[in-house]
This record gives sequence, C-alpha cells and structure tokens, in this order.
Amino acid sequence: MTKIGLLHTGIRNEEKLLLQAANTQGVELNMIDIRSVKLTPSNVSEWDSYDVFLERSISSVRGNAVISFLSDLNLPVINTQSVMEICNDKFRTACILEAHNVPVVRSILVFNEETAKEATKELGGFPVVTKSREGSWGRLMALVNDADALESVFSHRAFMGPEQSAVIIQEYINKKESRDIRAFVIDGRCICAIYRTSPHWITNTARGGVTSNCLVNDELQAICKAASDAVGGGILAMDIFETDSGYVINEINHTMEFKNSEDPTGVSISGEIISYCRNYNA
Amino acid sequence: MNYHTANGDQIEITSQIIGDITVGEVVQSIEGEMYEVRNIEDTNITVELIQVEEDWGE
Ligand SMILES: Nc1ncnc2c1ncn2[C@@H]1O[C@H](COP(=O)(O)OP(=O)(O)OP(=O)(O)O)[C@@H](O)[C@H]1O
Ligand SMILES: [Mg+2]
Repeated sequence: MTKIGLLHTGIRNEEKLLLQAANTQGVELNMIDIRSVKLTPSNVSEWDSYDVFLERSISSVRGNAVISFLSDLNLPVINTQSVMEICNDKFRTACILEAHNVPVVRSILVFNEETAKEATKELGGFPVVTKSREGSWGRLMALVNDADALESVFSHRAFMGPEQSAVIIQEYINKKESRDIRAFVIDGRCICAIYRTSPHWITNTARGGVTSNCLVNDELQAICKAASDAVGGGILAMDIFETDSGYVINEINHTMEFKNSEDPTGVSISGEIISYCRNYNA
Repeated sequence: MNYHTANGDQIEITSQIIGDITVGEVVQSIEGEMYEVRNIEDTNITVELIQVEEDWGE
C-alpha cells in the first residue's frame, strides 16, 4: 500500500480534504509538520519509509526548502524540484512556456525605471501590470496607467530590498466578463476549471473573487496539456485569460489552493490528487 | 465550540470546519484575522493569532 507523507505548515481546509480523500481511498497518509523538522542529509531514515511526499506548505520558503532537500536525496516528491523552481518564478514560467510555443501573457523583466518605460512601449503602451517574480495572493502587483504611476512603483521598490528591483512588466489583459480561469491540471489533464469573477482586476478568491464552474472544452484542455508538458507535469493550477486570439496562460502554481473549487465544479480535486499520489512513479 | 486565545479572549470563527477540528488548523475570525489551533479540550479550543507572511499563499 502507498504511504504518503503530506508536508504541511498550517493546516487549511485543503489539507483536511486531502486527509479525508486518503481515508476514503484507503491510503495511508501521514501529516508531517515541516515547521518542526530538522533537515540533515546524514539522517534520512525518518524519510525513507514513505513512497511519496506531497508538498502542501503555505510558506513557500519552507516548502521549497523541503522539496529541494528530498529531491537531492532522490526521494520522490510532488511536485518535483524542477517544476517548483519554474512555477515559483513567474518570469521563468513565461520564458519556458514561450519556448514551448504555449500562449502566455507577454512579459519583460527589467531592473530600473528607464528600461521599464521602454518595455511598456514595446508592449504597446499603458496600461501595464507590474509584478514580482515570486508572489502570491495578488500581493505586490500594480496596474500602472501612466508614467507617474510607473515612477511610484520603482520609487517604492527601491526600499524593498535587492530582490524587488527585478520587476516584471506585463501587458494588461482586459478580461472578458471581468473574469479569468483557474484550471486544475493533474498529470497533463485538466480535471476541472472555475471562473473567478471580480469587479476588481485582481480576481484571486483569496481577494474576494467569486467562483463558478467553467466547462473544460477541447481548446482549454489542449493549452493545459501543453503548459503542463512544458513545465514538467505534476499537480498544477493554471491562471488563464480569455482573449480574442484564444486562451493565454498568466501563471502556474505548484502548490495549489482549491477549497473553493470543489463545490462549484463538483469534482473531488482532493480525491484526484490522492489518486495521482497513489499511482505516482518517480 | 468555544474558541479563545491563551489569555481567554473569545474569538468568533467564520471559516467552515471540515470534519473534526485539529491542532495546527488555520481558522479565520469574523474580523478576518488568521488563527492557528494550539490546543483542543472537548469543546474548548485555544487558538493563537498568526501573521500572514510574505511567502504565504499559492
Ligand atoms: N497581466 C494581467 N492582466 C490582467 N489581469 C492580471 C494580469 N496579471 C494578473 N492579473 C490579475 O491578478 C491576479 C493575480 O495575478 P497572478 O496570478 O499573476 O499573481 P498571484 O495571484 O499573486 O499569484 P498566485 O496565483 O500564485 O497567488 C490574476 O488572477 C488576474 O486576475
Ligand atoms: Mg494567480
């Protein structure tokens, strides 16, 4: 029988749904609070007894550290280190999708205000979106309508430490019906998707976006498969925009939140995740 | 269920609880603050305020 080690920090409803799904499927699942682990390469015996680890940390610093540690010891962890490294970085995600001819929001990485202005021109002018390479829940993102606003973004970022001097300038996508799509993709297959609708241009459900079911058509299935192949597969949540020329990927998350999506889609995302872990062959 | 901090402050929880409440679970108060469950004794649940950190979220 498969033994899954669920790596967590605080326990959210997602983790409880995963526990329930494991029970339902008769899979052994142990909760491992990675806030209290001591990682040392000389003692791996406590990790050896698992068939697979599922990384579910709320904190990316902790989660990513444990993924790297386990990968370096050749222990199977979902998602893999390479998927984590790509998806953790919105700019790398964009580059890799582009390299695989997957439609993606046009992004330019800059390090100062001057090049940000040039990038804005190259993208067709204002409005643009500025964001950090890493980030979540819509934080540190700005919708920039003019040069004054762009200047403010850079003057604020100057006080945020060296990491925040790298800024992604992105074309602003005017969302159809004020919504975007969050697609849940496991092993290259989109198992379900939701619309996130909001009067605000940031639609994250953590920020008040309202969810509804989005039927998965062939075109959506195809872009999800292509994007999953490009970044290395696994369990992924893709943020996708609808445009006149078709779907484009905004970003891909490697440790997804899904508690608000099981109800509207009627799909047991937690059940699908556990099934994937059970049959996982590294 | 009676949610309170270690100092005895009552907290009203709005988040939906799936199954049994567990130690380590993150819950949200009516004011939108996040708490983590530290101790459970029957219906007495001790929670501690946690700060949302920058590296949190998906
Ligand atoms: N270029 C853009 N044009 C229009 N809307 C955007 C653009 N970029 C982001 N948004 C909106 O802001 C939301 C959050 O952006 P994004 O997904 O890039 O970062 P994040 O949500 O902070 O990261 P995570 O999904 O990992 O929590 C998107 O879901 C979308 O609604
Ligand atoms: Mg997002």
